[in-house]
Amino acid sequence: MLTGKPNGAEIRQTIHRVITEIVERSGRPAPVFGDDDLLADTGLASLDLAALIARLERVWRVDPFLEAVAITEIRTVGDLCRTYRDFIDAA
Amino acid sequence: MARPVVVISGGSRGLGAGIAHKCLDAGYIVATFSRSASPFIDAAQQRDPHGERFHWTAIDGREDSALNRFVRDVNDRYGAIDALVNNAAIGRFGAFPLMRISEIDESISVNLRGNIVLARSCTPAMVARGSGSIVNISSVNAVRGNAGVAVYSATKAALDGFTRALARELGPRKIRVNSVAPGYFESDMVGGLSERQRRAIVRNTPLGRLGTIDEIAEVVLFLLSPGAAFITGQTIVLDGGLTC
Repeated sequence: MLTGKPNGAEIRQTIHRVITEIVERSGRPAPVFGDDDLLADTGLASLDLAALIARLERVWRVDPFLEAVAITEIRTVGDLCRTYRDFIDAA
Repeated sequence: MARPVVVISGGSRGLGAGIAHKCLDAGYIVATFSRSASPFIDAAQQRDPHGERFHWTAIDGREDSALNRFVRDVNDRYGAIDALVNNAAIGRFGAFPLMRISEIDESISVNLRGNIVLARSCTPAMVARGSGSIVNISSVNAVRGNAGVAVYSATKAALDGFTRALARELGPRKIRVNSVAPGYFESDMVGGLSERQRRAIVRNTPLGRLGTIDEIAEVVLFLLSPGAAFITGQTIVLDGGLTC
């Protein structure tokens, strides 16, 4: 059970920040992206996505992709933000 | 430098306890679980009452949510998981045409599914950190056919396939995945063999004896170590030459 749940804007901000950090850490230039952009277009490779999920689990202690959601349903950055927001709201 | 953290499934008895013991001696922090405690667990907890280097929880490896909670707890407690040893297994032996469906389900659930789910929980953080080592405990029965162990063999062979595929997938993130396939070694699992069966195994083994838990654990420790930094996707058979 989460206490002090983050709001949608905080979730979005955190996800955008962690995506940027992961892409930069892999030696690529900082991506410029919005919620409508495909995750693949941010520069994240599939295993980067796993790293992103792990980083977000450390922040919010949830992993929606363990059971509730199929990662294949997530196409855009906005999809990812909404998934976390809905999952955290329901927790 | 921080001590490496290893998660070992089924670390209370037999080979699992042997691996846990060996890892503790080598300086690892050991986090393990099993359905029930054992003299080994009791002694380790007495030596380390605050869980600084040894952590055990009672978990049935067939419960996904319990496994996920365990992994999260270990990450919170020690800050990382550097290595995973998928050891948990049960042996349900006997004539296959007479085996109960529930025994088949139990074997697949514990020997295969539980270990895959545990790896699924541990690997995201390894990917995020860009390092890790996984050792799956297979069996000589995964590489040679033997009567009376069909389902057990199927689960262990599947674990070897899992090892190779995962090694390919996670290698680019510096995560190594190997399996160890022990032959017959002194343990509860061979306790059910008749004296005649034991003699036949020893007779067919070029090195002329059963293995020991310590010998198997030593190889697991090596595969986890930096000395095995260029080994991944392999199944190391430890059987005194039985299958050569």
